[in-house]
Amino acid sequence: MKFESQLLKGIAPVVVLEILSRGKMYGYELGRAIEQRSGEVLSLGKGTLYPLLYNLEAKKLVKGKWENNESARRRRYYSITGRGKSQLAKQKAQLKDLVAGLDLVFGGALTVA
Amino acid sequence: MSKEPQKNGLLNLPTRAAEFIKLIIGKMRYRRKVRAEVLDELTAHFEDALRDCKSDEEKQQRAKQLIEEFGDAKLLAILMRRAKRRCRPLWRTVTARTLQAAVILIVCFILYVAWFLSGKPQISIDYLAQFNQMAQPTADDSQNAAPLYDKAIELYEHPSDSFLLYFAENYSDFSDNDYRTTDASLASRIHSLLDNPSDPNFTKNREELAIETGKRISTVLRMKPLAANPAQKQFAKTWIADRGQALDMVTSAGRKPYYWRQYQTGSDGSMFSILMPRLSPMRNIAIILRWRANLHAENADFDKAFSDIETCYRLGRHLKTNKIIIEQLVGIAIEAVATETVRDILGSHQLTASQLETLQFEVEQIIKNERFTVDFQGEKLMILDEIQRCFTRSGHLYIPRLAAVGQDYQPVSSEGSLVMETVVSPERWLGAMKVLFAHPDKDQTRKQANKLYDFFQQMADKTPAKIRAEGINIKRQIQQIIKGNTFLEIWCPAYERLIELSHRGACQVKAAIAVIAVLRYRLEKGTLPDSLEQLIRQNYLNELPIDPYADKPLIYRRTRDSFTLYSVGENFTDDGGKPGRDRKGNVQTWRDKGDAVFWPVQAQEPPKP
Repeated sequence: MKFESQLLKGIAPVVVLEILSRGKMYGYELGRAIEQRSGEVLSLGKGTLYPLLYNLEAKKLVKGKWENNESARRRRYYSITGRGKSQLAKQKAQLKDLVAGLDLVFGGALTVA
Repeated sequence: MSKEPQKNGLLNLPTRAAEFIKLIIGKMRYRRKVRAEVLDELTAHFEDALRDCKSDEEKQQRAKQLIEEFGDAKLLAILMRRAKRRCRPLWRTVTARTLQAAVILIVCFILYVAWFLSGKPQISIDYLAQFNQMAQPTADDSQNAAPLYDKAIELYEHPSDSFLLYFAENYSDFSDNDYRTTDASLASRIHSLLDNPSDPNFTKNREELAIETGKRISTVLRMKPLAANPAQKQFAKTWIADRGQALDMVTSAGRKPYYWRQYQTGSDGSMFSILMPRLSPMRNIAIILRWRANLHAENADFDKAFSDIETCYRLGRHLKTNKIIIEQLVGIAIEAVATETVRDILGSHQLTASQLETLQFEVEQIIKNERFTVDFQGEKLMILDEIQRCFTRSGHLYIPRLAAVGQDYQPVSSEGSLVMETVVSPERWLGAMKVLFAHPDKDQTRKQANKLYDFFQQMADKTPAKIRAEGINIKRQIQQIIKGNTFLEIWCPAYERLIELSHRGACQVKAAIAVIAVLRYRLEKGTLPDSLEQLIRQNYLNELPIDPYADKPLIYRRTRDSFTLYSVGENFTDDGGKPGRDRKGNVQTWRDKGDAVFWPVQAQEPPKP
């Protein structure tokens, strides 16, 4: 599904942090995980993914590390940091409040019964 | 990261994918290591995405789709670069920014220096013409003494063969230890010259010897006539007799009301290089007039003595009415010679009341309407002329010219030399920085110069006593006016003493008149006056001589059979008439210690311990 880019822009970092909170991943793997876990609803553009990861790394919300996997091709694995976890928790709470507020506006249409 | 894995990774990808990745990396324009990591990461992403493709065609399709998903390579490269920059440690960011700032500063500095060293001054105002117009009196040229002075100088500077021979044959009589060898050599050359009149170089050699002999004569005659021994007096008499025609011409010139000439400059056309070749011979002529006056007085021919004193004073006054400071200074000095000669004669000879009256009248007539204070108008035009030569059209200093006038910035040959000098010397480096960045522009310098010379003129019109009473520190005021202006700091002369000189000159001549009046009074009344005011009341004196160091009349004290007349002098303190002395103990009228005593005439020998 194609969403308004401004709508996705704000939630992309929190989505990435959420996925990474469940385990370290490399870039391609992360992109696939976002699609799969959102039921193909969310798709982070490849041109957005890596700049986003680097920005999160700069803010010390995630940490990147080169590792060799089973295919002997080294990959850069990203894992969430303590600060990232705090930020995730904070943003999840904000999103929850946002969804609740929007749900009230839309008369309960946003939440699935 | 080594190149080998990178190459291998891209080789496994379809060409378009590899080209796309290379394009992104190329556009990133960042540190090599970071780009290598991004390259690895993107390569791995494409490899992972294409792993499940079963055919090359499928790989190509998938690669194409991926490339579309990644979007514009250039934009992606920019986003990645920005993000990676944010990842770098703080110290690296600070270092990078500092280096950038330094490079920008250096480039700006180089551009600024290039701009500074470019440009030429524009000489738009003919200050010399203004000065000549200002100096020229409104009178026809027949009233001008200049042609007569010129002729007199020409006659004066060329001793006759007979005098040269006299010098060569008699030098041992008047020479002293310091000059005996030089005089002997000169004498030998004179003999050699005069013995070979047919020598092809005779004229040239004669000219050289005449100049050398003339300089030596000036040295011999520099002493005071009263202190000369008989041989030195004879030498002076012989020289005076040889120069008679020149001195007569000076006497005629002195009677003219004006002395004015068109000033001319040297090769660079600046007022700074104004030619004044006549000052030195004029000074020598004044010295010889003093001698002649004394010799006439020795022969009791006081009319001729007074005439020479008058001629000498008029010569000085003529020079003073011109506008260049140097000429005014020489004029003041020549007037002082005349005044001292009056006192020397009064102190050494007994004149009659009638002779004294004549002398007093003549001196009073000479100084009537005389302006004693120094005039700075000419100097102001000089500095304004120099400003237009030392600043470019865009208003900044013109280094080659500044170097030519300021010794601190030698060598003067070129901007390059100046730069080298500043590089090797820390003080000059600081000076150069000050000149480059902190120096006022042309307009500001002109304003400061105008203010400076207006200040000089204001101070010149005040006596030293008034300046002291008003608490004015001339040096400090000058520093405040020219503060931060390298040009004026180089150029600004030390005029504090000059301002005092003009007041001293006035004081000396009026003191001489007062002395004459007292001596007249004594001769006619048989006793000394009680005060100078008494001389005024009884019409022996027209005005009280004022002490510039007290702003009160000079101090007159009767002694048992004589009197003392003095100024409190440079220390502004009445030392009871005790004269100032130099380091050798010789009496000097104006010293920083002691009084300036005008009467009695002081002995020249140092006091016995």
